[in-house]
Amino acid sequence: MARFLPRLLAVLPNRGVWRALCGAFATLLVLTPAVGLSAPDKVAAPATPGNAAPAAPEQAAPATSSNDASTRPAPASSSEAPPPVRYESADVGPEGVPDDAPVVVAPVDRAATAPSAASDSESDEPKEATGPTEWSAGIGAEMFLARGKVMPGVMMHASMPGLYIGAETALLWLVEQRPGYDGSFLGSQVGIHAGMNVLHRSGVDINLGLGPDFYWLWGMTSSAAERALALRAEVHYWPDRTHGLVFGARVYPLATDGLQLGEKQAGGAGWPVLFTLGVEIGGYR
Amino acid sequence: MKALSFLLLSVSLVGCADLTFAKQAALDYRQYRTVCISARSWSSYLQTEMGSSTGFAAVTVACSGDEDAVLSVSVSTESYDNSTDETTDIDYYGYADYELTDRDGQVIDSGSVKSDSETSDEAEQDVLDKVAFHYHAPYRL
Repeated sequence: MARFLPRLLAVLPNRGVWRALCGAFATLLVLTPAVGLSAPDKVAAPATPGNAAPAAPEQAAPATSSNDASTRPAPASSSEAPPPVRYESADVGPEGVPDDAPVVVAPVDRAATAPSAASDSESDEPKEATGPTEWSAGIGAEMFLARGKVMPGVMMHASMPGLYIGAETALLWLVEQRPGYDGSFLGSQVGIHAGMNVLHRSGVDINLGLGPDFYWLWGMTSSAAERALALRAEVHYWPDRTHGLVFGARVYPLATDGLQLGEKQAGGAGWPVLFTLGVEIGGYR
Repeated sequence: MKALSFLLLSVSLVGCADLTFAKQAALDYRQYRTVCISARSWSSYLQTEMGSSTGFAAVTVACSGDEDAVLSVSVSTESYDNSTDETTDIDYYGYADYELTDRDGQVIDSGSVKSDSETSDEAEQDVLDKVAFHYHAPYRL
């Protein structure tokens, strides 16, 4: 199997197909945040006398106001919830809304704003999820951005406040053949890492950690193996509760002689930070 | 957050790292172009492993005296008990000492490698693979 797989992988895509695959992957990465961010990823709790009402004078106006009636679509019936309304930040008064408050807010339930109904509304509706979360975890696909190489891989991570662990593996191809090796498939990479979770809020995780990276160039020869100690930073951004984007960056302060991050193939200093971009399925709570 | 997302995406797309795998030549292959392997029963295996990826232009196992160098390899194995309280397991260390000499018998290059495998044959093959990789052609990939 170890001898058959390199041959199989070597006859896989040529350069043109690789470029198409990379283009499709990059398009996916660009479109995913665009789609996710266009959706209301955070919906505020219904307005209550204690939060939204003082912040948005227009919202807080009495239901009998003629001004309110002319600017707000009226619900079909008193029991049917009106559609969400997007408010620009300029519409919101500065005194009552923190800077990180969501731009999109739920429509005002006029009945709920009445003092008699406020307590019922608070108990029925979910709280806004902008505070610290208990955990997040995901599994997904990623691409290493290394010049002259194609490195697709899979990754997983799990984090909780103050701690995270992760692992990944990827395959390596050369985009162009190089002197000394007449093939294109090089081998595989495996990374294991753990460290601190420095930001753990709903929608965003930022991790700093370290761990070993192994490169086995078994596509070329069974004995070529390189190792490095990777210092890493990861940002996991969740446009919604189940789909995430992963941005990673790493450097190798320690590595074997045959692994050179930051040295160009032709010699000379190069870009020393290895980035990864990925998408993941998972969630946070 | 939207701005941060696109900033990270932009930075990463323009910042492809230079990740290079490199191997230095074990010797001057322009001076020593041909080699004969002297490794008892493992000569043919080592010749196959060195194959076309070696830095030598030609590798033979039947020494004629015309080769630029002779590669002598001695291989040995040693078993050790890797058992636990629940299982009985015997594994093997493999050792190979290699020495490359020129036509005058002068040592050009020498070294030793070690390996660890579940069987004796695998241990021998692993150390021979390492010797073959030592004489791999230099590369920067």
